[in-house]
Amino acid sequence: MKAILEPLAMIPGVRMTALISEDGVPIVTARGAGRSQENEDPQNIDHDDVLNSFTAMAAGWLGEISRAVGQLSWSSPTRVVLKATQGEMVLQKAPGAVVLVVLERGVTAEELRVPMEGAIARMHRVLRNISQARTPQTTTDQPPPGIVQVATTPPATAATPVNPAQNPLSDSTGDQ
Amino acid sequence: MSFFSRFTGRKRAREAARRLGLDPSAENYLALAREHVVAGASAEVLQVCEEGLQVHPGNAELTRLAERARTLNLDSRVRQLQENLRISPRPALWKELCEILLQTGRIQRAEEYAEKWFEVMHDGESVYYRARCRAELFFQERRAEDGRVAWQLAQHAGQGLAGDSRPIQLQFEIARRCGAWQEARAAIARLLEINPGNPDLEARFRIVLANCHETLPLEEALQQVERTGLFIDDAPEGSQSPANVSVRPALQSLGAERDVHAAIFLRGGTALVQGPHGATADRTARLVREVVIRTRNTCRRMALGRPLQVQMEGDFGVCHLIFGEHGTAALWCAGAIQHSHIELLEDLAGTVRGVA
Repeated sequence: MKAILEPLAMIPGVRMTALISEDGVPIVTARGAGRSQENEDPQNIDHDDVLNSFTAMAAGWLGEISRAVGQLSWSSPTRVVLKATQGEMVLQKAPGAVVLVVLERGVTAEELRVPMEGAIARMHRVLRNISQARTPQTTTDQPPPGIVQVATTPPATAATPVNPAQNPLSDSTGDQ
Repeated sequence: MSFFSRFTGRKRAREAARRLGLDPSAENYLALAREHVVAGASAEVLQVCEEGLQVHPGNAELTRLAERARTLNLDSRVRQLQENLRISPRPALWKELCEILLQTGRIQRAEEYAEKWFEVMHDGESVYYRARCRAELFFQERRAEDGRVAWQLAQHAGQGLAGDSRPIQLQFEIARRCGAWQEARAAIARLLEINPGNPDLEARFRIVLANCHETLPLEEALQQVERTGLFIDDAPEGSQSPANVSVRPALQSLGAERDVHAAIFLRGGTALVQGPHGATADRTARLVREVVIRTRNTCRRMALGRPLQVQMEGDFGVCHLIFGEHGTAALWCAGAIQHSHIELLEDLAGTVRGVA
């Protein structure tokens, strides 16, 4: 997952990307290019403890918005963009999680749409591969449980030769 | 621009000017201004827009174009100042640069330059500009930390600029806006020492004295501002009316667009909804209000500053909210939201362009 998120973080203007659970626990985080973990400002998102509370608040906000739109029987939003004076935040639903991207000022969320969708598609693919690898392999001899094996001899076709002596219906052409 | 383009551009501008002479309508002013935009003559654009605004006051398109031209002019001056500073850094240039950046709402850039200025000169003026940048941030973002730093910097600047009232004025403004009346009283008393007998200051002193009984210590007052997001003199949202656009026709024109399900304008406790009717309209307005409240709280807690826009996408389509001085404008569409829709929403909400 880190390998999927890191290309997103390398895009200029991206401050931080994270894959977070729906209740806000960070699963994987990747900081934008040129940012170090050490920063003078303790309020800065680049500090791990600040990052944890940031992701929790972001997920909390998404939950509140989902509840608010529920009044109109809308399903939960799949992508939410919040633009503020100090930066921009994009939250996009991924399989069983949420991708969070924080942008610097001057970068628009639209520029991140295609890369984010690409990253989420890759996540889907990785999860599909994992689930396929976990499924037990079935052999051709043993059918999957619940399926009854039927006769394996091929049915007679129109081209099969028929012996008239052994066939009582061969002469019954309407004389009987 | 090639000679041929310049030649045809001049011809088109002359043609637009001739049409404007025959019919001085807002559209013709806009057409002429656009021709100047194409020719890259920002001074002429500004001149035509200002003339047009005198004839058609409040025209949204002309106002927008004039603002853009003004920003372009200031941007070119900023580039010139940066170049001059590289060759010969001196306080007058730093000061002008910081002023322009503050004026155009680029507070963080202004603060960066003020810090560079301080590193080079170590003078009181640079400390004052650092304080001013921080104070502007505090007034905008309402973070207690910004207010605290601005206060301390203004105090240092006051020591460096003896007899200058600006740092004390800044301290007074910080204290007054967050309700720390004792500190405000002390600041205005010092201002009166510098400018004795100033009737405006005396009137302010009397107002501050009258409020002193409900004072808060500065630190507590700053924390309260951060918690509530409100200054003492903040008018309730929506007390200012949209100057350029009337709300209902704008909502109706938005609602009539293809793919638009609802257009909503929210100001204080009042909501105007175009599109849905009855209970659905109520629920739509409630949805927008809840999203606005939750987003404001979240932005403050996450130190993201003031919210400007929210866009939600899902099975329901796209819902776009724009926060502004006059209220919040929202649009619910089946498909993608067009740029023209966003501009109209910004006009409705009273967004300060350049910040958004």
